[in-house]
Amino acid sequence: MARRYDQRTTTFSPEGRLHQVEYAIEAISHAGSVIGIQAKDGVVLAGEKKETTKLVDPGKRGEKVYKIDDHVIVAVAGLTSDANALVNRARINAQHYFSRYGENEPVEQLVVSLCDYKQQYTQFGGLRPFGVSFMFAGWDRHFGFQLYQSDPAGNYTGWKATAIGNNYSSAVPMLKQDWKEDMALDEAVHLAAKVLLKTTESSSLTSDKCEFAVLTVKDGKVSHRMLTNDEILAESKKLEQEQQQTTTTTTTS
Amino acid sequence: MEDCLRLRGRRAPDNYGYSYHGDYNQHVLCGSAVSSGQEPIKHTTRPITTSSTVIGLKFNGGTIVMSDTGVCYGNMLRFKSCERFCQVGDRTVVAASGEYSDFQYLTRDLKEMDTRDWVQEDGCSREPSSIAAYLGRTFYGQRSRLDPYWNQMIMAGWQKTSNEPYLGYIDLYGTTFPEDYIASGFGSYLAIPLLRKEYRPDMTEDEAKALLQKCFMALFYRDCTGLSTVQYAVATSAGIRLSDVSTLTHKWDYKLWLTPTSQLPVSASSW
Repeated sequence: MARRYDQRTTTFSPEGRLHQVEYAIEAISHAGSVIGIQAKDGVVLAGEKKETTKLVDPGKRGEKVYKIDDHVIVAVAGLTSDANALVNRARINAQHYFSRYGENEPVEQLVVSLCDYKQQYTQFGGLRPFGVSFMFAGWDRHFGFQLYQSDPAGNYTGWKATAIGNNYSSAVPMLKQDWKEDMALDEAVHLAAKVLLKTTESSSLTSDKCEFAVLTVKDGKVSHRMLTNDEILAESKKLEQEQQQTTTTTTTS
Repeated sequence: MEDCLRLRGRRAPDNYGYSYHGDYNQHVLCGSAVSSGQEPIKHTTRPITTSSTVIGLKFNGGTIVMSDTGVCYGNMLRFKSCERFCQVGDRTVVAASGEYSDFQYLTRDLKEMDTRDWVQEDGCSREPSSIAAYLGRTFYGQRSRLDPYWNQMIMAGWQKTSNEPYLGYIDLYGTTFPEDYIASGFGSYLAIPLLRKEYRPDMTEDEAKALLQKCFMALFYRDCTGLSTVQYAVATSAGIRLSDVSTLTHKWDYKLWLTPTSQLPVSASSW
């Protein structure tokens, strides 16, 4: 039945659904997962990389985490080409604000402007929606550290910790259980690694399988960086040790 | 004509000397050049109703900016009680010299910027330095079309991020910079030397006000477009306070001026 009402994005089905938007959201649930966690002194974004054959020549650019401005980074889940188009838009938006007002754009305003643009593709023009969900991590002087997630419909929500993409439904309960109000950034990074390990269903995390980025404030200045291969390996080792500890305790009892 | 008003948001096309039915893009790009057989584009080349000096200075705990209440029509001091201040947001005020009608338009433009911020409903509040950047970009954009807003604006406010007073200057070219004390118009010639001599960053509000009054006294005596009725605005962490209009006392009863030369001793002169 849905087949009749899913060709045009701008048409409701009799059940009141926008099928193209739902299909876009469905596409993202097959993409590499992204975990976002807000700590009291920073925000961490962790993403699973899908292209892991050794023939891939990665170059300098990653595929999951992008810089929008000095004070905002974003992790993407979904169609990379769609993501690139929207990331470019967000970058221009941030610079336009900076040129006009001489200061960094408040994070939520940037998210809202991108979401308003995405919403247009669900209501006008007959073009398909963007097949990508975003996880924004940012800092501004109004609300400090923030984490936002947005979807192809143009909805956005602020989160303390959340996941999108592959196996996000098993990631979210884990985050709900282990996230604490006063988490430090390194604890958040460790939790993100633990959850990512679960969603990727792999035995270990290596730097070719994932990307980690952290956003912090130092001496009043916002900065962000990708974790190095060594740091990811260190997290991976820590997780291995924890896993071994739990298995030894179960066997002894 | 209505379309053109909406397009530029300002005056009717007659004053610009170009036909709306021509190519608008051509007009914007060529500035004052002739374009495809139309009349040469003539923008306002000089300000008509002008106001003179504004002086601002930072004191210990705030910024004070003072101006007189006159608007001239060429050489004629035509309007004697005009308010030249505009408050934007909760902690910024801007005072203007130059073309008064451009100031009136920019008051509207700043209020529209304020409304756009308010509509966001996101609890963010704009800093004076950010409003100065916005004004500066507005001026620069207009000057790049060879059709400037003919003003020099002095902006006073309270910066929440650094918890300190703000004083900025924005002019018709789009020049924007912060300073500790600044003057526009005749004040930049007459008042700045006085300020250089007597300004201290740790002055109290009363001391700052007295110094400004001294400057405006000098301006009233020497600037023929200057008035003795002045008004000032103070920006502190508590917000903006706009004063009532007050009159500076001025002295004209010098004995040598009043006494007719015939009654003076022969050797004396009236100088």
